[in-house]
Amino acid sequence: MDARLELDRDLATMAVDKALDQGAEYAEARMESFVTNGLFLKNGNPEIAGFGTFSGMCVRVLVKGGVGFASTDILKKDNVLNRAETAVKMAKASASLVKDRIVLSDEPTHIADYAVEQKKKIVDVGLDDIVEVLTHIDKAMTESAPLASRFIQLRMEERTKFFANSDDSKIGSRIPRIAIFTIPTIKDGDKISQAMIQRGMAMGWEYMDPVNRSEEICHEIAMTHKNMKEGVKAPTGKIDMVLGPEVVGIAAHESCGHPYEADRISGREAAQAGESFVNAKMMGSRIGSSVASVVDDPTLENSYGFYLYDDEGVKARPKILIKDGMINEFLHNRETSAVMDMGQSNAGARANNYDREAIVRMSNTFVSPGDHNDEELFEGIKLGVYMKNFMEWNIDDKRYNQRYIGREAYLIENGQVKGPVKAPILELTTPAFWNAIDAVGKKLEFSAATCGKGEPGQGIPVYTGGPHIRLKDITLGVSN
Amino acid sequence: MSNWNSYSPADLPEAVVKKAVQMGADDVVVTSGIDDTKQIRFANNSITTSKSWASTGLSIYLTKDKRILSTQVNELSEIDRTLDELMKRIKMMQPNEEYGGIYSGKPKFRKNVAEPTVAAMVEELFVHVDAAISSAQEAGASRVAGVLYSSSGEMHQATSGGSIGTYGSSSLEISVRAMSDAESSGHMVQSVTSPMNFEPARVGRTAGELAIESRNPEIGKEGKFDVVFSPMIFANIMERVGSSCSAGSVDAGMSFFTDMIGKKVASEKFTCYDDATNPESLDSLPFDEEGAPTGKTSLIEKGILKTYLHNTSTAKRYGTVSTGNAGLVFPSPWTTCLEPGQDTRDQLISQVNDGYYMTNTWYTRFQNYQTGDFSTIPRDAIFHIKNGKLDKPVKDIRISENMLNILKNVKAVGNDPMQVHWWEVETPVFVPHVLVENVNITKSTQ
Repeated sequence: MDARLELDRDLATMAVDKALDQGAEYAEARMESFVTNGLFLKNGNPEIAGFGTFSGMCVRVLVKGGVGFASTDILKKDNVLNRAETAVKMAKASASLVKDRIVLSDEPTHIADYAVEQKKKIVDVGLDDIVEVLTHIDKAMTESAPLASRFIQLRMEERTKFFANSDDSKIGSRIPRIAIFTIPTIKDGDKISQAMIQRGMAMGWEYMDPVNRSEEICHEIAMTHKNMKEGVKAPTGKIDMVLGPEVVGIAAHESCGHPYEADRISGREAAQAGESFVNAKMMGSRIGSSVASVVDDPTLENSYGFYLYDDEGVKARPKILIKDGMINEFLHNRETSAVMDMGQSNAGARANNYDREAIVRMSNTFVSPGDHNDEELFEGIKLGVYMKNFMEWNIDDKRYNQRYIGREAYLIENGQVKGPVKAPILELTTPAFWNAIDAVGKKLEFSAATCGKGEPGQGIPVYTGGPHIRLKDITLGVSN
Repeated sequence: MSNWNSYSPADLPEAVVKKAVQMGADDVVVTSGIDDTKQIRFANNSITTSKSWASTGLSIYLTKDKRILSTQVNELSEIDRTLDELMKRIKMMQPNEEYGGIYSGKPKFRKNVAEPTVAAMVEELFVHVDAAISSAQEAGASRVAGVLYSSSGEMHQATSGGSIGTYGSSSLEISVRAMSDAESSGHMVQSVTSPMNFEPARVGRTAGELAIESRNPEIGKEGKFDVVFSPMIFANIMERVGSSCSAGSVDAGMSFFTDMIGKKVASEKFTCYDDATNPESLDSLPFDEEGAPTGKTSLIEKGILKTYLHNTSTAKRYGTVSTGNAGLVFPSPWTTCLEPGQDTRDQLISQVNDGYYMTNTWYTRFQNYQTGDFSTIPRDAIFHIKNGKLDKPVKDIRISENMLNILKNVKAVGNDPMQVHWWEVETPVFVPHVLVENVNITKSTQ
């Protein structure tokens, strides 16, 4: 392993021991080291390149129902021990005012090490390689449509972690991640449109094949241009819709994953990420049609949201959030699984850095594949709209009122996909969305995204995904 | 090999700049910082976690033949290796043809030191949280959630242009959301740089009162309505106004003010500026990221867009001078301020026959940054305004609008500015209540 990524694991166990000596009933230390590399290209110009090696550790402790957390970005014995002491001090100060004592679920001890293999390691990539690939993509973008402006951002990292706690768990990991993000502004005459495009995986530099990445991005730009130029007004009144995997993925993430986060349900995120229209009593009740199932699975190989143990040392597994239309499982960490008396956590605790607390997060959230070929989804639709992807979206903090505006969308007439329609608006409640699904495609596709949550905010890598799905009897809104 | 440990924190950046220039760099900016931040989070009337961050770091920005690199170092022993790495890597970079250099000069910057009592606070922070929760409950809230921050730090910066600056700052911030039932809530925030002005109990009480006043909301109506925005919600608009004024945003297609200098972009009632001189602001450094002096920059005067925000490079390209807003890559606002008007909140409400009073929002998302098409979801206390007075509470509506339409439809600006900075507003904004006409409201179709 690259020397920059090596961790002195003894520091973590020292911190845990120190915290216990100071009076902690439970203690954990998470140390991380990571190498980053990035480039920002604006209108073809290499604006700035950044790189760095970072390392640090956090210590979390439990004292009399109070939680203390302290971090340092210097991995030296004195700093680490000082932080362990500070965490206990914060927890003790908090314990006297804690009205609901915080308890963590009992979890098995794990000793493990795992790594994502790379054909070409992130840490070995030269800046000249990065410039070459991004310049290639940028040039291809300019040839795909008339662009008024554009920027491309590439960010990649290779991160090692070591987690140790007072339950004797010791878990090491090494995960590379690479992502590209671009917003081209397409201008043709007086028409302007933008596409926000992100791609990413937990993989080495081999992911940045310039031809494949260019083709994906340029196809999106060309289709957005065509839609902007030729799109006609979408039909009004009740129609049927087919949604592409990108729209299905964001709906699964925003209106199923987020409201099923147990820390929202329990109110812990009320002043930040918000709460949820779902409550604990709704477990087992119907939320959608019988063909709707949603899964969150961190164990998918090379997925952008990949991990095998969460940041509380709990072994990861797939979670079935909606099963055949019924609310089946929430996303938990050790604190919420204790609050809801779940027995054990289902390993939803993630932090985006060593100086952030692990909170309940999604990983790779998607609608489970069904039994329809894509062509079958369109058959029988007399009048409808195919929303392949989206531009603007939002959803309220309880995750009840959601809205997606189509970027690439088409009219469906008598089972056939026709010409483009402009900016159809799907604005409906969450139960209405999940109940309207009457058919689900077979082919699963994913998109990389960065999910925001936490205070301070933590952007965390995730996949959103699903197959094509069909919605019955939808009332579309139309842009002014 | 240099003995970096022998330098004081204030002298270290200049020494690193000198070394980098000796190694062949053209422009160099080195910034070092040390920061002590504490956070207490609370929910369901109880503390959920308490945190302490001890951060140190040295950032290095370096150019050679218009090739630009940046990195950070956490340990002094890494500085030499990092400088070697920078000089090696920069040969592999391509030139940025739009690069125009950095500020050159040796201005005297105003001094400020962090308030020493802030870094020392631990138990007091918990007392403040208790006061906020208790006040919200006394106002009638059943559940209270939020966060308190204390922050204290010092930064030192040196540039190859000759600029040397040191600045200390401290702050206390609290955000309180109070709930009275599943559908009704109120939210209030406060950010101060002087502990003397910190009022957690008032913040808690205001959030609690809004929660009680907004009980039993009905689903709102869609259509065009006049809306009185509270500072909390209009801060979201103002933050986007500030970022859209960055010349970097304009160049990247991320500004709804593209090609609009000298043009009418807002109503005559709308005058705003960027201000790095207000000591009450959380973000008021005397020098920017390339060492240029900062100041107060008029952005929109009586509806006319006066300038973009610039660093040296963007200023050269636009044929003007830097506004002291570097951002080495993107110029960015310090604190966006809306010039207050004459009306009280109630006077603004009295001008509306059939509309809404909104106190907070969530998830402002763009369909197109350049055209300014967006939507945002009002949350917490929303009220119908009927015949000039607050009427019934409302829920489940969305603002589906265009930024320029909003700005052009500003009818009146209130006289009660406050600093807004919280989870949804990252750049500090000073903004009063604002009345906007003909705001497009939508809601879920089913």
